[in-house]
Amino acid sequence: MGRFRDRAGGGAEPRTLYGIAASPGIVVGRILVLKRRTRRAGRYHLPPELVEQEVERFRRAAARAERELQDLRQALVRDLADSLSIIDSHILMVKDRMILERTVEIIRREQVNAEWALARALQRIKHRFDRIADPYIKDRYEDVKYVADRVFGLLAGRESDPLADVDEGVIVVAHDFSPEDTIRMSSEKVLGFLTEKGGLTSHTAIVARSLSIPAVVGLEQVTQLCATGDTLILDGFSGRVYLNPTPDQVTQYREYERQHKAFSDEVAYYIHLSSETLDGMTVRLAANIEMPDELQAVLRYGAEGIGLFRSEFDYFQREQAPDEEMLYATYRELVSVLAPMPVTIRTLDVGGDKFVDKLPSAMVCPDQERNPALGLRSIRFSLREPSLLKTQFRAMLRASVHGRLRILLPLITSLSELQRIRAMLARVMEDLEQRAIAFDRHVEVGIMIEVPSAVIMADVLAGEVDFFSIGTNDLIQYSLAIDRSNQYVAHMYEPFHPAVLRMIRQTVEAGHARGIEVSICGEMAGDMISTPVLLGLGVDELSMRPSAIPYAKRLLRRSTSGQLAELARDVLRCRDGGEVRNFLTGYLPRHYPEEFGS
Amino acid sequence: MKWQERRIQVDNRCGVHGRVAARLAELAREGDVSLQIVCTSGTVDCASILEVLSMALVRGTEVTVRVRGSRAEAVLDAVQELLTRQDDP
Repeated sequence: MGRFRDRAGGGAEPRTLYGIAASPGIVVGRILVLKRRTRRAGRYHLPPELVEQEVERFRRAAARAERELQDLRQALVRDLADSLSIIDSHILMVKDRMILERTVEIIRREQVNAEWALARALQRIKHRFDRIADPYIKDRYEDVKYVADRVFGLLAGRESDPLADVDEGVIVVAHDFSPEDTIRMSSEKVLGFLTEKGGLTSHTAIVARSLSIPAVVGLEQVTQLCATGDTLILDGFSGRVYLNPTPDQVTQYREYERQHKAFSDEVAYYIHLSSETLDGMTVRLAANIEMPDELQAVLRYGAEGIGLFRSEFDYFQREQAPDEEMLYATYRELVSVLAPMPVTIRTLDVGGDKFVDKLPSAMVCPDQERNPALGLRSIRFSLREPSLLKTQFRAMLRASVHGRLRILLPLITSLSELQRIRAMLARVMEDLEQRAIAFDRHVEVGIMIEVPSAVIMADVLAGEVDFFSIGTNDLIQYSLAIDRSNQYVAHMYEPFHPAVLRMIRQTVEAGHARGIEVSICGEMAGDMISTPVLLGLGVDELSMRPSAIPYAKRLLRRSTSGQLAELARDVLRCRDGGEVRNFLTGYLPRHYPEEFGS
Repeated sequence: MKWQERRIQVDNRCGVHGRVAARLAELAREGDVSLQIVCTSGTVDCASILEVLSMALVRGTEVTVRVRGSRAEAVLDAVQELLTRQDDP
């Protein structure tokens, strides 16, 4: 068992944690926690005769760090050009005189140990970087720390590969991975990644996807909640993580894992079939994606459109906001590849705090928000920074002539907000017209329904837009007042809360009364257990991760419209989420024995 | 040997950040030249990526680039090209 301490016999509490699903796949395994090395940089005075020996010890560590980086660079996969240049600058840093010469100088002058001297040298670099106003350049200090950590580790005599004496596959858990870490971990020993920091566009997420290793990111405090040797289920589809799972959960997930593999062949058969019930009711099954790289998957799994393109990626891959041409290129690619199927592009949907250093004008400088979920985010941020939104609109409109593009506006809470944005869009259209640039004048514009006020006012809002898209994740968070990342209340996050189901029905009815389409693009749409219920509630489109589409299609093709409607009626009679789940536990295996039977 | 100098205004979209600074350091280390940048906050040797970064040369900063060595002119051209390129390498 190598380094794992024995935790058999239990005692560790099972817990469910919710992070961000960054790379798909399910794994069950033991974990290896990589703690950020706490530097024991105590100060030790050296007798004069040992000083040169200490200098030598430091030089060897620095040289070895450089060699490690060079080796990594050699081993790099072609596609990771971005990481390559990061590693190049790390190599330059490790031999920089502010680190190398300065540390040696301190060892000699003060007759101290290398760790202490290096810490001092770092401190001086930090002081200089602290004075820098430009946030991007200032952030490079993080790279200096990565590099120094590597040297500290070598000084402490660490084995260069933390996986060296692991003899089984592990899920690697850390605060954050440096680009080098993630690449180095691309071995068969790594079953999955789990980090505290990061989002969908973080380095860990991108590298994990390119290596097809399941990953969950953004799970705060996780390195403190678990220890090396614990067992963990990591669900890279949903972002759910089960720490110290019960034997039942492990069995269940191993079964999912097995089914996932076994079904893929069988399910592939459904990819080319139409998505309709036995009695001919059609529902569009579309894909949620965030970058054009995923188009292959969209086509492979037989999606009938893109129900949600999260447009953030272009904004976070670079140091500055993308220009119109860059966005246009992305949107045109999506729209023309999918044509004539629809591509729904959501405008920038982020918190202002994540964006502040990318703004040319630096007009928005939100203070530390006390309550970011209720703060300057999503469409509110776009309204504060209209130039960003206008650029995005122009790119979308220009792309609209290449196929069927639908514009989706997030987090709408009132009619006046919507009207302001539509007026802005109209001005962008006029401008394009004057410059004789082609666009689709009748481009469809829709809104996300993800706050209770939008549900309640759905009948009014429906008169102003061409479609609704229900974002269940935020709708649940805002209506149940649950922050799913808060460990104390996460268990109360309940998609089957009758309030949520009723809101979905109310939105569908309001939309249909005005003859507009209603779609669901939250996580719920791709969850097999909820698919029949959502279908029964009458939605016109379910949008989910591409790989879930064949499963949803198979469910749909084994149902009749009458049976689904009846299921929804029964479920809506339940008085709380528990009753709904109990009901489904009986219902699903009866009606869909292959999917839900034991 | 004498220093050759050139005034250059930094025009990289993101200023002299990681990649530009790395390239400068490579130029300075490619042998046979000394390469320095002088601006209001002082003089740095470009061979040190950390010193260059810590000067925070944002877009629009005026600097004097000084080179000494046999290929001084060619290096100055390369630096000018590097500091005025708008799309980052």
